[in-house]
Amino acid sequence: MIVTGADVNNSIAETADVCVIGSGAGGAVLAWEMAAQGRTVVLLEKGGYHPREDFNQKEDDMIPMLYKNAGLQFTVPSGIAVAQGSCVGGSTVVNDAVCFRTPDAVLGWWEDQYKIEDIGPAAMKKHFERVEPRISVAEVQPYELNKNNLVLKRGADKLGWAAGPNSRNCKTCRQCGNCQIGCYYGTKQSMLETYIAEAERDYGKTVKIYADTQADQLVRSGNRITGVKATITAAGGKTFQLGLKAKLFVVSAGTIASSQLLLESGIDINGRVGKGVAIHPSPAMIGDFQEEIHGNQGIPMAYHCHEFSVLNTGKRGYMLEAVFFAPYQFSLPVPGVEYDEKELMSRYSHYALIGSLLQDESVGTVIKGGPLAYYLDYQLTPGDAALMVEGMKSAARALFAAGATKVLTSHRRRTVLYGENDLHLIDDRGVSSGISIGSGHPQGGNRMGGDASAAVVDSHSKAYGFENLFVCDASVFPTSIGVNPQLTVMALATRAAEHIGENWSKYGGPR
Amino acid sequence: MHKSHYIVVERSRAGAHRLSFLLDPVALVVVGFIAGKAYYLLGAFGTTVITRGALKKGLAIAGAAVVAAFWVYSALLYVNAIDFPWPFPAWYSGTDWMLNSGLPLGLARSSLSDVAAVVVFATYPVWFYAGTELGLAGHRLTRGQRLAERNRIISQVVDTVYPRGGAIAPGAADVGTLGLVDSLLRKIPPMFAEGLLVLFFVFDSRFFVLMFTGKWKRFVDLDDNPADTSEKRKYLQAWSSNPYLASATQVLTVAASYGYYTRPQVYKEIGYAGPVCPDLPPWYNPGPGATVAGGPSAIGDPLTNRGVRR
Repeated sequence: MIVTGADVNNSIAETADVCVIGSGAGGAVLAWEMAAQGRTVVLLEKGGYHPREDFNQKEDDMIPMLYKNAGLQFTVPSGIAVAQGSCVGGSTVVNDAVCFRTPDAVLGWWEDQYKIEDIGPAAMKKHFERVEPRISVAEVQPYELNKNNLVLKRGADKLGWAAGPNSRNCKTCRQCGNCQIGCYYGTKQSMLETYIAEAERDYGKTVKIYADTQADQLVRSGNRITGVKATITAAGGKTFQLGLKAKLFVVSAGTIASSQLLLESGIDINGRVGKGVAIHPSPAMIGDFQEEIHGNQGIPMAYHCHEFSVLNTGKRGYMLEAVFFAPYQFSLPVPGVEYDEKELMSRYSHYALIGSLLQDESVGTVIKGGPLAYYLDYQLTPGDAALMVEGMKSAARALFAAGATKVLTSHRRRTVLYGENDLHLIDDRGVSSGISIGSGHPQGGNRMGGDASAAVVDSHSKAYGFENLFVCDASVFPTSIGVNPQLTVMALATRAAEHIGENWSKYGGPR
Repeated sequence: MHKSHYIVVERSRAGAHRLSFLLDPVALVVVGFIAGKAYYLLGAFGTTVITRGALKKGLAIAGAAVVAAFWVYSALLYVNAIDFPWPFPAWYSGTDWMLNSGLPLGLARSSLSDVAAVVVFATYPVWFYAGTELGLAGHRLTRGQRLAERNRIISQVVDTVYPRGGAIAPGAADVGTLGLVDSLLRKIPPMFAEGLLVLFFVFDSRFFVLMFTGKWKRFVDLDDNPADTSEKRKYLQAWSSNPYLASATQVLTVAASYGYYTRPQVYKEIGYAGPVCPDLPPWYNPGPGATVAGGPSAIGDPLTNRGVRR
């Protein structure tokens, strides 16, 4: 049962076995898994409930409706745009449906350096295998690659770089090119179409989803959480209170909001809540081609080059990903104002875009303050900056190899490369400031680890110092993972659900 | 020390017209003005958007500290316990500075001047308060007036970023950019909207315009010729290239882009097809040998939530 703000006209008191806060890749999976174990579940989601009938492929309608803060969320002081979904289904509703298993090397670091139990590739395999069919993960077929993706393929092939088609959680994709503003056709198997829909279908009587409902504070009694205080925003902006008591609580609101909720509740485990955030900062490199590319026509993100990625090297690096956007989102990395930006944007249909996803160091911090109550303090480290420059140069090389006549960087001071001899301009400009960088993967902040004195949650996502509080979203990543994170989050949620089920009497008390 | 001190005083009296004896009240007004502006404008970027109550409390504490500092320093000068270091490295005697302020007035300390000094000192809080009132004056608009003022600023920003003509013919004014940006800002959380309102006022303030362009004008008043936006553009670029203002500038330009590049008139100019639903995209490739019939309803996906909504 889904309750939206429009359905509410008074304050509400609820009880459940399990309260899940956040309905994205972590929360939706946890909610379904707990329901499948026979638990009653209440799921709280700050964003609205928008089934695909509400999607219309218009950026001006969809971005305020589906994105956190209407898409206006930036790191401070670096000004990196951080996109997060804010709706039932979370970021899975607005992502590009790209699915990578967590790189083996990353799982190895987590196991060795962070002393996390049962996290190695072999241990995680069964969790990936449980999730992947549920969300229809399949490799993109050659006929599904549009010209934008083929540019990266052509460039990587010419340079002899390791590359391949992405796997995506999509069934019979209609290739409309609007993954980032909600899938009108419902072919993207987001949480909205899978775990949430299936919870409705299979456990409609035991799973209750409150949309438009922000969890304000966890209520603590000793080392147990006993309840949550939440605010429901009803029609006309009127608000009502929701008081919820449960046996077990799972915070899955995403890196920033999960840290915010814990800190607002006076919970700062080991002084580490909100610390160690990475974001996968991704500058865009735009290749201008004589031929029309029409990058918006087709799957936006279907091909990647992992030559310099942890997938290939076993070391921190960057991954090149073909990606494209509708005009507004595309314009954000385009430099300049006035006539020069117009001139650049007038070539929209001739452009190919390669993003360079940086596997960054985890140095960001969620801090109380600012007009959004909390903000993400984040700056590139010198090491990250150097790696980002390399990533941009590699993207430019791939674009030139594929036939680009010129390449635009996303520096705000217009920077145009006319060939590989101009690559030094990227070094000259640098990336520490004066550049538009995007991010869609905030992660870390509530680090998982085996050391009870250094991490926020234990090997199975349980918060240290608490009997019945779990955190399960990308915020538990001890390091950045270097690939699109949704599948890792879902697998970790599956893993946590299994652990909770096996130890219910310990965490949730007797049935 | 004493001998050289009096030499300095003589030299100074002979040639210089420096600051007035009334420096303290003027200085207090200026400091109060800055404090008033700072508490309002920068408050939004602090721990939270400052409420009216917190604003008043903060100003009262700042005012007490400033006035106390002026009292202590000026009183020590007046009783000649310290000298006044102006112009550096020459020195005035404290009493001489307080009474004559570097002007050839020839006033000396007396019982009458003592009484006058106490009276002037007693007015110090009033001068600081007057300054804060001036600093806050622009922010005592009604909400409607503030939104109208915000939209006047946004209008100038979007017209600067997207003027009429060039490679994409329509300008922001031709495609309703302002209205769309306004609607976007009405959909964000109220606290964030309030913070952005403050940001727009900061952006428009004479202080920042002076800092980046050398002109004592508001942003909206830059460029005498409406057809020429070069001064506004230069100012916008100065913000954009300042590392400390990067986040703020991003918000302004992203909001402008939202209001411009989501317009169908612009789609046509750049070769973007726009929304294709409910039909299938004309470029849809179902794969080798496959055919498409029946549109989206033919998708036949059993795992959808159609009809689930109550």
